[in-house]
Amino acid sequence: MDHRGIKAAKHCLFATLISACGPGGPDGGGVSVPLDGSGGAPNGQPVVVTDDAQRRHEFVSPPGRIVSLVPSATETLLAFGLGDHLVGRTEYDRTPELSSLSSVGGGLQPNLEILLALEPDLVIRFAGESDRATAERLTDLGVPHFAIQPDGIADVQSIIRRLGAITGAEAAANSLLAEIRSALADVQERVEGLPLRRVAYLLGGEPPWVAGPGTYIHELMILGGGTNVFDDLGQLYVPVSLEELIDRKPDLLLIAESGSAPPKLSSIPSVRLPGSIEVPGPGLGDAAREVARLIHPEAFP
Amino acid sequence: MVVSDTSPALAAIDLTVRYRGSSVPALNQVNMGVPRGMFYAVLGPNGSGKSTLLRALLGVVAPVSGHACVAGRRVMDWERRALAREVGVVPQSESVAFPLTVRDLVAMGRYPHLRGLQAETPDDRQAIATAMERCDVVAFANRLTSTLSGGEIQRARMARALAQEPNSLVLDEPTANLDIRHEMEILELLRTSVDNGMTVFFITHHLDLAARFADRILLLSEGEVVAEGEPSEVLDEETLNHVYQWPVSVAENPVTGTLHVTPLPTPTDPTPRKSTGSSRSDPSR
Amino acid sequence: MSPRAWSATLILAVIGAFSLSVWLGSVDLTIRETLAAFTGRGDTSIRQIVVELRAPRAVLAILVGGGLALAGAVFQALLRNPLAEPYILGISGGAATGAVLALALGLAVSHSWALPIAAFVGALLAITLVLRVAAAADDRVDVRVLLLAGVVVGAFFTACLSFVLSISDARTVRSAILWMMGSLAGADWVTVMTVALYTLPATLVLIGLARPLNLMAIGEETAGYLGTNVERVKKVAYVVASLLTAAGVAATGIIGFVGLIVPHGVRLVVGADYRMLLPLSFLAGAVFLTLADVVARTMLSPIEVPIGVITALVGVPLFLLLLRRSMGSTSWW
Repeated sequence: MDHRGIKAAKHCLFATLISACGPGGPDGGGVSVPLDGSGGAPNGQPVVVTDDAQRRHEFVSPPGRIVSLVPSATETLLAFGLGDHLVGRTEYDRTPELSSLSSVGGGLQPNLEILLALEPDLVIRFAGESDRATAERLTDLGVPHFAIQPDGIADVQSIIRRLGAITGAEAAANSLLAEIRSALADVQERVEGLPLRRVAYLLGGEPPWVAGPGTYIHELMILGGGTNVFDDLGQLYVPVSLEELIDRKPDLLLIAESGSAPPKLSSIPSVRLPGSIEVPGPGLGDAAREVARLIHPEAFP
Repeated sequence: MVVSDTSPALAAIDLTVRYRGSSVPALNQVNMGVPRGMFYAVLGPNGSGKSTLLRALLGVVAPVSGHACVAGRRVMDWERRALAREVGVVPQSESVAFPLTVRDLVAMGRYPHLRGLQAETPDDRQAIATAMERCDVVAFANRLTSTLSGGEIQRARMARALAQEPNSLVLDEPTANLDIRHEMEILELLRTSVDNGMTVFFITHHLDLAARFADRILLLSEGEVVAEGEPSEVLDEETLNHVYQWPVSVAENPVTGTLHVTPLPTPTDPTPRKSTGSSRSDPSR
Repeated sequence: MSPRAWSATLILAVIGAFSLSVWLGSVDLTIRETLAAFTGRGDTSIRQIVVELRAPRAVLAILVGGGLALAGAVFQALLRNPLAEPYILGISGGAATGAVLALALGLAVSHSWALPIAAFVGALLAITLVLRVAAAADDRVDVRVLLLAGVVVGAFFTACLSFVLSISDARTVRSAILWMMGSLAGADWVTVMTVALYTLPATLVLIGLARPLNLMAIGEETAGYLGTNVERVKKVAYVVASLLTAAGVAATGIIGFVGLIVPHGVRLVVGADYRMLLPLSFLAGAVFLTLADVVARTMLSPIEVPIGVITALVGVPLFLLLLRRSMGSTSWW
């Protein structure tokens, strides 16, 4: 998709700035902060962040009334300890901390009335065409909105970084990123040199929907010392025939929490993934570790 | 509206009609004319082209050659609503898709007189009431057409045509489902109308009725005119035997003084033959 | 009640439904707050909710509900079939295929207008195709062929749309399904103006055809004998009613039952004269859809129940009630 190419270009553009201000590592989106590294409002300089819809945002002060329509952003903000900055939630946010907040319905096409009534100064939403109409309505109604697309590991890290900049919680963001980095490094070390296992991820359905390259789970599989038997797919999730699945000889099937292994494939070892690790978010480190453990149990005694 | 008194109410000139997909014409070089103020009956066996002639005369079916005229003007030149005010049609059958009261059905006869969404005027209401009275359908004015018998609906349709207050009435077998009383009432009504200047074009199977009420008869067979003229000229035994492919006897009815046609038993019919009254020729074997 | 009394009642009902629709919603507002919003006073977010979200939505419900009911009544006369409704001639299939293609090809990324326009174009394609098929060599439209062509073209488009969905990613499928279930959520004043621009003239044209449509009910031949230009009426009625439906579908997705049930309900109460049936169907459809939208929005707030679900769940029992009450004096074919 074009989106990836543009992201790569962004990487180049902002590379110098980024390397000057934070620890190295994969980064999407641009973050421009004063060079003294403290970031944001206290210096009076606005924080400029670009979102995944390629729009530039200027934050003079950190937003205090946030509604996040994207679960990974919600989790990230909670990880920063900024739960009190959230003024609304979606139907998918079931953590007890948020239960007292009004729900705006689904993450896509939220209930605009409730959203407006919450008077947010920032709405975090999904980028992408399925939510175009909502984006336009929010703009028309004068509600600031920030688009993110948490598809893969790099996206998650970029989102953590940018959310940290926006909310003035750079320290928390950096420490979270460091944690993630070290977890990923640990995983890589453990599976180094081990023979690659052939893995497939099934969402469920008949015929079963599988994950291709570009998905979060695909990246976790690779990281965890496996190879995705469907790494030649053109799209993120597609339905494939059982024959195709068998023909590709996976050694292991990872099944989504809400899915089930097709009975005809009972000869292939399969394991169900807990829902918490399927969604890209700040729990990335744990997710990578869990997937790696399932692929190479021998590396995790 | 200017109407030429001398031109025929309805006329066909060298009219040939062929339906798509048929090699044989439904009407072949038909020439006929209905003089104004006449009761004109059209007779013929099934498939002889009677209904086709009606459609062609009213411009519903386009001829392959020749043309049809109404009141001296080509039917294709008539504006539809004007034509509807000139000629009232009672078709052989109709299917009503949605529940409709008899009064609503008859009221449709006034549509050619009303523009767009204009409401009925007192004149319209009078025309409707008169028409319904003359056809004896006032009793079921508010009943739905779906609850009426075939004959009752036919009378309602006749009322509709009369409500149009046309100069000519065109009817396709209007008395097919009627009992004696209603049949006679309709025919007497038509006869009276004709006496008052209306022109009536009447397709029927009832040879006797045509003989009794019509001023002129057109006899069709296989899309062609076999005979046209007064009943006594057209209703000739030999002609009828040939056209209907069945032996008939034509005699004068002692009570009414008009001709009546009796189909004869064929040699294979076992019922004994009764002796007939005066007959115009010997019954054929 | 005389038809005139019914008109007055329904007009009041439309006003009432509109009022309910701007007052009720996911966020509780007092009547005073609602009124204040219209006069430009009061809290900004409340004003936005009432004037930018609820009001255009209510007006759109009036336009689309009225348009669908009107189109349904016209199709019932045209096809001489009480089961006819606006989508029977393939319009919904064409519109849905257009919308799904726009979603699958990512056309809606550049501008959210792409979706309604694609749906409208799809509908136009279906309309044109059906008319081409149904018009014989001499340009006469056989309504039985029209019906068959419509059903077949609709099925074809449905197959195309299923195909596109089957090779699309999950996000597209989800968006497509949501669109197809129909929703008034996207209503803004620009959409409303666009739909009104078409709906109002079309409504006037169709109401003007009331008498010819009455005559269509007793048959085309007789209609011709009573002064109707049958071919012209068929074509105008078909095209205008189809475009009316297409405009509604493009704006709101596919909302069913309104076009089928409302004209029947009105017919059961005021009779079959289209001079009354058409305007009253428009008004009744407007009231029905507006109230259904209120229910859809408030029933499970913050979740919005798809409006097509409400129109069916509410419409069907309501209609059956009307039908039973009139059973004694009505018989169907």
